[in-house]
Order: sequence, then structure tokens, then C-alpha cells
Amino acid sequence: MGVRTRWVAASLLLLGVGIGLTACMGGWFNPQLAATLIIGAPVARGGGYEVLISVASMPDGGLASIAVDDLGFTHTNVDGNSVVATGLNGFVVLAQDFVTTPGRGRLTAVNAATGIEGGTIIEVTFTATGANPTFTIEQADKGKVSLGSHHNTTIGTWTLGTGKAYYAK
Amino acid sequence: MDVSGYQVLLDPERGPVFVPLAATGIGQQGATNPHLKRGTVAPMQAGGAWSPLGTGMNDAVYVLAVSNGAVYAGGYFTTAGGVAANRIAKWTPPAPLKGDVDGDGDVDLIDARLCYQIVLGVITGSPAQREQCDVDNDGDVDMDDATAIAEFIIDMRTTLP
Repeated sequence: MGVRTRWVAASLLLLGVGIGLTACMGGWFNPQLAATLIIGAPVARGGGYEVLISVASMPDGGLASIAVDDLGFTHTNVDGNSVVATGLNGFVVLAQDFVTTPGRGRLTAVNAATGIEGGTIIEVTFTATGANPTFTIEQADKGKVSLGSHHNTTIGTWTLGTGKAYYAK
Repeated sequence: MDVSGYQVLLDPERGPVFVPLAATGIGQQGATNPHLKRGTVAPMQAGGAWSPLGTGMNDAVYVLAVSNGAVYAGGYFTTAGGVAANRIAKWTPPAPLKGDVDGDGDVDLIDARLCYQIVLGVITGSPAQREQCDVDNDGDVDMDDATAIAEFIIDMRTTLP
């Protein structure tokens, strides 16, 4: 191996080590995502529909409680009497209320044991009254949603994601 | 007025001050209270932070005393909390709010979880917290209480029992 080849190899090695150390210090490959509440689109399941509500990058030990005020959930072509929200990954739905006309809903769910930084927290199932049912939290209704952390503090800064379920149950 | 447990201290800005022993820190060396300025009464919370008490007075407060849970203030003011006062005023703290398990002055999502945690035994909760969690006043803390708080915060019910 010639001197020039060794210089090139050594330079590449140093460059790699430098990039690696910088990445470790600066977190290049681990970007900090904004806390996000995600409500998926309705998915046909066993004669009815399913909507998954999940979270990502929740701070302060993770999400441990959620309250959606009346009209926080809005839906169309959904039988309100058929709507059932079930907690997942330790969450328990303590209160829920869904109405067919106008299509609206609310709930309170908590996880007594721990917080969830990322994952699915609630499964909503319902039967449709028409084609292409919708079930969502509109951006304008984001203010009707309250989030609490594992350390029982309010999570005030978060974004709302819609359209697809990011996590499997 | 029961004056046992109180002392008169010399505040450098306001002169003699009548305060509970080891309660407010007024006049004690090194103690400062940014809220206790002219026309304001501010109790020190358990955690050591000061907070304004009501909307205050329109002139200086020289004397503070606590008796039977009420705070008495004396000074040069003629209004206290927006109400006419002849240089003496009494402030009675509001009764604890049922369902306000964390004691922050409102009933919200955090209270619902705390109550549920007490129900499941995840946390024991202080006697005061258990009392606030027992919203149906039946002497125990159970799912009925946690559910009632959960419903209250999303307006499924307008009052707590």
C-alpha cells in the first residue's frame, strides 16, 4: 500500500470517527420530534370500522391522561350509539359519550401505572350509517383536547396528526 | 383574636410587622417577598413560594395575623379586595373544591388520574387528597368517584355530588 493510499485511508477513518463523535454529541440521527397526538383514518374491520388514536414523542414520562371535550370528536356517517372507545397499552376509558346527530363525541382516558411516550392509546370502533364514514379531531377542535403526563403535569405543547395510524396495537 | 404563636418584627420598609412565628419570613434576615409590597397581602405556600392574596389593598399593610383559619390584616388601607375597609380586613380562604385532588384550584384531567391512581392503590394519596377524591361523600374512594371526576371534566355532568 502506497503512502498516498495510506493517507487517504487514514483521512477517511478520521473523517468517519469525527462524524460519529459529532453525531453522538449533536444527536444527528436522533432528531427531537414534537409531541404529537395522532388520530388515524377509519379502517374497515369485521363489518364495522376502527380508528386508532396514538401518540409520539410525548414528554415528561409520556402521556398518561387525555380528555376530549364535547365536540372535540366529530364524525359523519357514524352511528353514535355504536361507538365504543377502548383503552390500549394500560389506558382505561373512564368516561365516554358519542352522539349520532350532529356527529360528535367526548371522552376521558387515563393510564394509572405509567406514561406512553409513543404508541397506541385508544381504539374506537363503530358501525357506519353511510359510505365513507369519518371520525376525527379537527385542527380547530384541538383546543378541546387536554393531555396529561406520567408526572401529572399538563402537556401544553403538542401537534395534532391525522390521516393514518402510526402504530400497530 | 388568638395572638399566641405570633411575633412583632421590624420590617425595614414598613416598620413593625405582626407575623406568625416562622410563617411569612417578613422582616427575617435574608428573607424577601416580592409580592408583599405596598397594599398587598401574600401568604407563603407550603412549598415556599409567594402568591398574591386577593386583589390587595389600596394602601400599606402593617399587621398580619391568622386566627381560626382566617387572615386578618391591618394598616392604612381603605379598600381590601375591592371592598371598602376601615384599615382592617378579614380574608377567609375558600373551602376546598371537591374533586380538586392536586389542590391547584380546579378540577381537571390531572385530578381524574390522581383519583384513579388512589382507587387502584397505585398511590396512597394524602388524607386531604382522599377527601377531595371522595366526591360522592360516601366515605371511601372508589371507581364511582374517579368516574364522576372523569365525566365532570368533559361536562357529562355539571356538578360533583
